[in-house]
Amino acid sequence: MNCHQWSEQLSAWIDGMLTESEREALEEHLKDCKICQQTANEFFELKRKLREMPIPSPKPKMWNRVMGHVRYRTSRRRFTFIKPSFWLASVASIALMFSVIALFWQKQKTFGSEEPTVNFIVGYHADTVSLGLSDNPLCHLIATAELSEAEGYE
Amino acid sequence: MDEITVEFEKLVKLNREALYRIAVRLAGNRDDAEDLLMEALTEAWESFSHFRSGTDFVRWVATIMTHTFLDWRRKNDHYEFVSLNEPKESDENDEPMDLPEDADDPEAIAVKREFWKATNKALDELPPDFKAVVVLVDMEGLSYEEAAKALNCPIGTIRSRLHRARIFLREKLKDWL
Repeated sequence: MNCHQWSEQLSAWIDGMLTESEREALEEHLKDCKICQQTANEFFELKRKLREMPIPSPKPKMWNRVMGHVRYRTSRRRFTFIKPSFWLASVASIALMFSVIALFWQKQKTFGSEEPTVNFIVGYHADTVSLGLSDNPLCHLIATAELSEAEGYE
Repeated sequence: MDEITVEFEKLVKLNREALYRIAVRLAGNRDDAEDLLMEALTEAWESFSHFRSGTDFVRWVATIMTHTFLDWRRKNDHYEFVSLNEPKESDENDEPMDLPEDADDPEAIAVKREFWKATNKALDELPPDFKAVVVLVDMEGLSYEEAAKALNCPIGTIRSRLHRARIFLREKLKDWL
């Protein structure tokens, strides 16, 4: 194995990622190889300096902006991502509510028109007789009398 | 605010410094770091049900942040990828790093500043996948296994990328090593 091939082992060695046998073989090689010793030192130094890299301080109120953005985005998505079943159920509920109101309104209108006692139809022809009577007993009597007379009954 | 949001914001507040540090190391500057935090924390909030209480929140968000960073870089058409086999000279980047002042000798500070500037520039020249490994392992101290999980790749890939990235950085920063 030449120094170039040892190089990747060196990189893993400084991170403590070699197996026992790999580590022993590398350390044996390092005893005699100046090039690999230098590479190892440079890798160590590079790692140390990277770890020490300073961080620029955040801009004023950065966290206010960041968390404001997160809250805004998540609240919008929470609304957008409501399951389709929720929307279907909502539409169905509203439709049902309107149907009930419409039926109730229709019923009210029908009951209102039943008040007069003359709400019946009597029609008779040569071969058919059709009657439409209200529930009022008085109307029923009148209609029966008229019908009997028309057909010659006493 | 609901209980989950309160818990999430509490964890963010507790780990602000570490989260910002990772963001700025990945993004390379404060403005991009802010955008990266916004995006990654939004994603984190939405996946918060997957976060296991008692585990490391910073490392969990760091994984999300790394994916967000890599997605950005891949989608960004004007970003120039540098081949590690044929490193090219990049343009001069005069944008200064906003570094904290200390009480050291001014000459030493100037040398450090030059080194940090050169390091930042060299890190930006790395392909994003390689830069992410350097940031996670060398700068943030994650193990190969943790980095492999964060980047969703085998440990061997982490080892190989890290080695190639170090060779590249050593070449770029040889005057300071």
